[in-house]
Amino acid sequence: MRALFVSVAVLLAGCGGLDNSPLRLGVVRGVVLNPTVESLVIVEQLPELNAKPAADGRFEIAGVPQGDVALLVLASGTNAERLTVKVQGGAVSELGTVTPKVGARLTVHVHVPSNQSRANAVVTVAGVVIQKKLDREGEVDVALPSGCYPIKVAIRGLGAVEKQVCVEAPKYREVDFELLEPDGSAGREGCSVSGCETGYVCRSNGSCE
Amino acid sequence: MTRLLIATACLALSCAHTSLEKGGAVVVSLKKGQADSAFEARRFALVVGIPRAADDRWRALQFAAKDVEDVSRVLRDPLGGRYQNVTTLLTEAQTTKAALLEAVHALAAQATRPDDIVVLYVSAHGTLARDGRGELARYLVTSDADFTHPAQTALSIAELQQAFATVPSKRRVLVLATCHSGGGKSLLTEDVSRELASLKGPMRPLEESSRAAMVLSASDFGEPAREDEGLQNDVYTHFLVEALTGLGDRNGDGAVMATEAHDWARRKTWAFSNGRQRPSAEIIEVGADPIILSGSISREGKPELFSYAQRLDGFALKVDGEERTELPGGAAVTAGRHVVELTKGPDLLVRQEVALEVGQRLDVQELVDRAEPNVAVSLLAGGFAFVDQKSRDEVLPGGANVGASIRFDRLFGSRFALELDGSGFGGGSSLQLGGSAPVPFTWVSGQGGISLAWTWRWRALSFWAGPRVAGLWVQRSFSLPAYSGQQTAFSMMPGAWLGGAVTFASRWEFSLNLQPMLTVLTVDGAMRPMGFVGGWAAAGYKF
Repeated sequence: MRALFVSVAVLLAGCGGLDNSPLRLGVVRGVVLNPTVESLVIVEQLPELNAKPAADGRFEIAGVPQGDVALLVLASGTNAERLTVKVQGGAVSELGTVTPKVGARLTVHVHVPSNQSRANAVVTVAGVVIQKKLDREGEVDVALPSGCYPIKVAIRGLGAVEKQVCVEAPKYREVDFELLEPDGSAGREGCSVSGCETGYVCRSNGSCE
Repeated sequence: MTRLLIATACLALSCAHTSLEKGGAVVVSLKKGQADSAFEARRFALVVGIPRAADDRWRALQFAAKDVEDVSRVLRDPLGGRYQNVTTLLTEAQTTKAALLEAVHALAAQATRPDDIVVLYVSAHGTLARDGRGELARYLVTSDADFTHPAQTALSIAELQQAFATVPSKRRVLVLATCHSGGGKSLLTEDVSRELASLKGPMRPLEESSRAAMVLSASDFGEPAREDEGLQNDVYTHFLVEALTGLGDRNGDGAVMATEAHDWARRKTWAFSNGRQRPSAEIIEVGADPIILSGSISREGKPELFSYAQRLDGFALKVDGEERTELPGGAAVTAGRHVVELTKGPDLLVRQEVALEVGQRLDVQELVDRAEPNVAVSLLAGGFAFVDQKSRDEVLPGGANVGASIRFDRLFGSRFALELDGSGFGGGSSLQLGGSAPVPFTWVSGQGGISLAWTWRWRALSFWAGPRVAGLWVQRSFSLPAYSGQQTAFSMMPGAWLGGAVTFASRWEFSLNLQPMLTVLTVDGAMRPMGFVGGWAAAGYKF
């Protein structure tokens, strides 16, 4: 009976189709004042929807679901803003010029075992990888609007650590991330995968000396 | 038949044992007349007269008893009706509602063969009253009927017909020598009288159909049926009896059929009453198996032209330029070629030359069907919409459409019509996708369908209903800041076609059509079944 129903339905359905999904998505456009190379605009609940502003600060994010969405504007190392935008299906929501206020400053401090390299560390804030690299002390500064965010640090060969971090503008906060050599055969490879800090040599036992 | 009997008997004898064992064939001596009578259709009649009701506000009928006597006599006559089983009911006890129904059921128990001929004749008062559903219904005033509560105490004609329909015979005729108009053999309660007085125009019988094969009424709905001192009978009954004596044998085949008898009595009653009483007939089945009321078919009859179709009521049937009868009814003609016309006043409905053979019966309705234009080409304008709000919001709001259709009437017989149609339109509209502003777009749609319908015709009106299948093509175009594109879908739709038309100036028609359909469109990647309704008005020309 079910097969019959499906057959009849297929026969009746004919060909072609009508798709409303593009009509339920909109575009968000705006200009970030004084952008830097690190600037980033993120749809908070859908981090895969993000844009890096151009040199003049213009940005555009397409495919944003209609309705109220929260945008994180990470403008610089000190300024950040959270905006709520009403997105219309099929329409472009113009934000105009966004002037982010001073945000909460978060320092992410990454610790690794036995002088292994942190050069390839990947820091993800609210689901988006930030472009900024760790400094020699294994730190990176990020400005965020007040709120709680998932922060994740990953280094090849050493795995990843993720923490939920809450910040409040304009306060400063420092969070330590300690990456340990994982158990198992991969862990014994140590610096053969992650590399060593400058001045250290990777030994056959996987440690940097 | 006799030869068949003899051959069967010989075959049986050749197989039979000569001993006296059980199961052997028995040789019987049978004369030809006996064999014929054994296989002749049996004839049953229940003849009812209700001269007075217990409630004396219904005045006594003078001639109900004589009607019963005359009808039963002519039916029993060995040279006339040849009815072997004639039961008369006349006394107060025999004519109560319950007794009457019991007698009909007893008749049903006797007349069990399909070819039995069964006549139920009633001469009584008739009346009208509101039935249990509040509808005006006809009632037979039985001897125990109460004048103030006829619906509760009298026998409804519908109930009588239902009881009569339980008779297994397929050759039944119910003759109602009653009326329900308030005049003549009827008397109505005051409120029903007032209601009738306020009605204008002719009224038709409420029971449009009956499970009895034929219902012959002494008067049409709203007209009086009368007794007459001079005739000493109910007027219609007098002429019905006259027909059964053999005068009604229109085609001269030796038998008086129910339709022949009714036509005779109807015409005579109409003339006798100067047009005040117009007997009517509700004939459900008339065909090659007629109901013989008197005599038997002893020779092939003259060809007959007839019609009992309501739409031909009042038309004059002319044969070779001479008016033969007014329809409903029939006329016998000589075998050969004749020019047959149907006219009403100066208007000519049909004129055809036909060749008629001995014994042939031609329903002139067929000539009308043949002569009438049977192809209608129409321009149509209407609209369509999905049934559910969600589809109207998310797929396509209702829209207009214009197109053309061609309909072939009487394609597979007189009752069928086939229609092909195509329509389309376009415009701008907007979708309501929930949580956002309306999404504007433009659309174009096209539909093409084929429908097969069963049609009913009454005078200038036609109604039809039947299955339909159509194709629906829809294209939506969007030009939005965030999305531009075209989307197209095509689907087949099964459904129904309902409609009606009025014909005017003989060849023009105006029709209204409705198509409830089911369609399945792929929406957002999933098949979505949807109800779809299209409707249009059309102006057409028939040729």
